[in-house]
Amino acid sequence: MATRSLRGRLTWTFAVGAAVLSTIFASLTYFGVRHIVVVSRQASDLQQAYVNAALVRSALSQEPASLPSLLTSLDAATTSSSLVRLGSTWIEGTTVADPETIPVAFRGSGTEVIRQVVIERNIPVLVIAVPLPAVRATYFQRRELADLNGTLNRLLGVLALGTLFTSGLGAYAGRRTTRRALAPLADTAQAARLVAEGDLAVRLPSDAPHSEVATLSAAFNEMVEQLVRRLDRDARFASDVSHELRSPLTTLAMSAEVLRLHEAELHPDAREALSLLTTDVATFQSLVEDLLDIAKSDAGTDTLVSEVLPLNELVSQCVLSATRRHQLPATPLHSELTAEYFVSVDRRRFERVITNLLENAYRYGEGQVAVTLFANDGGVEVAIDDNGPGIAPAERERVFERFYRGSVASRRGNAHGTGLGLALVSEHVKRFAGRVTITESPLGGCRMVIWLPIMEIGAE
Amino acid sequence: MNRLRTPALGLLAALLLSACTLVPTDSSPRTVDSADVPSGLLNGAGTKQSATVSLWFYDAEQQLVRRSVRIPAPVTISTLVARLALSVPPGLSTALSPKIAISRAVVRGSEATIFITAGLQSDTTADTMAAMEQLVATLRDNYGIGTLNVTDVAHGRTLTIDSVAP
Repeated sequence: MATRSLRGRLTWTFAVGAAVLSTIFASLTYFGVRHIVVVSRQASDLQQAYVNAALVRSALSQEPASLPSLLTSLDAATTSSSLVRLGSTWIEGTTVADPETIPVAFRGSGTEVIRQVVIERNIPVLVIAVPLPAVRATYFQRRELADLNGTLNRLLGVLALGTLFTSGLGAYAGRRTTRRALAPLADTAQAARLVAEGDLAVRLPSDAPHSEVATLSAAFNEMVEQLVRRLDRDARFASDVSHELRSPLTTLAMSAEVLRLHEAELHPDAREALSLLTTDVATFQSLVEDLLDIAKSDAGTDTLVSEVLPLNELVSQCVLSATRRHQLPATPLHSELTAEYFVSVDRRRFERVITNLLENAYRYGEGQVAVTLFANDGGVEVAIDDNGPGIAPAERERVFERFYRGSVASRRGNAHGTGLGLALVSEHVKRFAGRVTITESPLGGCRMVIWLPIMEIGAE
Repeated sequence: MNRLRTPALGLLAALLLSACTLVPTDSSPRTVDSADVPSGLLNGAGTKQSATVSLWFYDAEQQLVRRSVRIPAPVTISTLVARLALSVPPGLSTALSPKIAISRAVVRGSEATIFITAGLQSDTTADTMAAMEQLVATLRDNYGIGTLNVTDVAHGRTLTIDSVAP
């Protein structure tokens, strides 16, 4: 069975509760009424049997020959049928009442009045036996209770309908009640969703003091405040640490560069150590730069310098700059755009985005990288393809998380990645009102796609 | 949820089961307290010791003749038949065999049905018809019977005779 929503379960509980209660009340009503009706009918039938028995006794003691006509008149006057047993002789009225239908236990020469409800042809029949010792006879009265069955049937039908109606009413009431009761919960869920998406300005209204909802709202708002404070603190810490590290790192890098000028004079072991030092210092510098960028972005202290630029030219310059500055192989750029499109970006950050993606493509690919421009979905796309192993679909969202290293990077033991490159790409592209996604590349590896909205010339 | 569903279904099932026998049936006969029975109905005060009945026999000319006799109460058809078969007054005769045995007799209005288990001949002879006439005449006087059905259990047949006023 599929898991029901909380509202569905509460509605179901209301309906079941109403059904249980109405069934209990219906059962009590039914059994109570049935008891009263049956008992009163049996009591009245018993009284009738006493009267008839007295008449039979009188007839038998005075004029036995008049008994058949007496029984006939008794049957006509009442809706019961009468029988009199005199030894092995059974005397009946006009109503056909087979003596065989008299319960065996009644047929003996008892000394007490006996009654029993038996079923004959699916009809309940009340049989009463009144011994008449004065005339050595027994008077039997049979009365079919089909009319009573009809009455009880109708009562049962009405109660069953009432139960169904009450259950439906319970479900309706539950539906309405839970809609109002659970509305704050839905608001809280929506607010939590927005916070998870990065909107830390979201707060819940707390206009109902001293209520459970207000308590929940206050707790939620306090939690978001704490989260904001924690994020601010973390961002400041990262920013401060990165800032403090940048100066000594620059000194280190410059010192290493000076040493590289005298590389030929060094012992081979020292040359190898210098090479390792240079590589690690470069990686460290890159990490610190990334951390600084992210910290500024988190703290909102970085300034976005947006410009509306032609995409073709922008991407071409960024690719060229990245390949030169980071000593990457020449990368082919192909445009499928049929017109000149403009995008609004911060040039420095966009260049950083292209650089990061190209570095990744060369780092994890097999050397074949291409950049292609498309028009798609009301915007433009910059696709960077490589012929590497690609990224598994399950990881395509997670690789944009900070310090997440995909399985391919981990498997290869690549020490050059900082785990922040793609997180920075995602942050920057979001600030350009764009998005970055990962698909399969026609080159066989991974395709990183940056989608950006098209800007009209003159608009910003 | 199941905790609620189970009693609900149980109650519904109980209601449906009870509906199958709308009027509750008593599994055994219930006796009524004697104190609740109108006074005198259950006591034997005024018990009639004997009653005068009319019995019909055949005379020497094979005509039915009536005789009034007192017999112990209660007067049942079995008693009357036994009297007709066994207590024949001097000078009269009976068409009923002394071996005649009645298992049950049912009187409904002016019609009586008696179940004879022994004492009837297998073929419908004049003697059998004479016995039938003797029976119906006696029952007419004592029970107001107009039609007599004799179910011969031993031979699997039913004989019917209407009484004719003598």
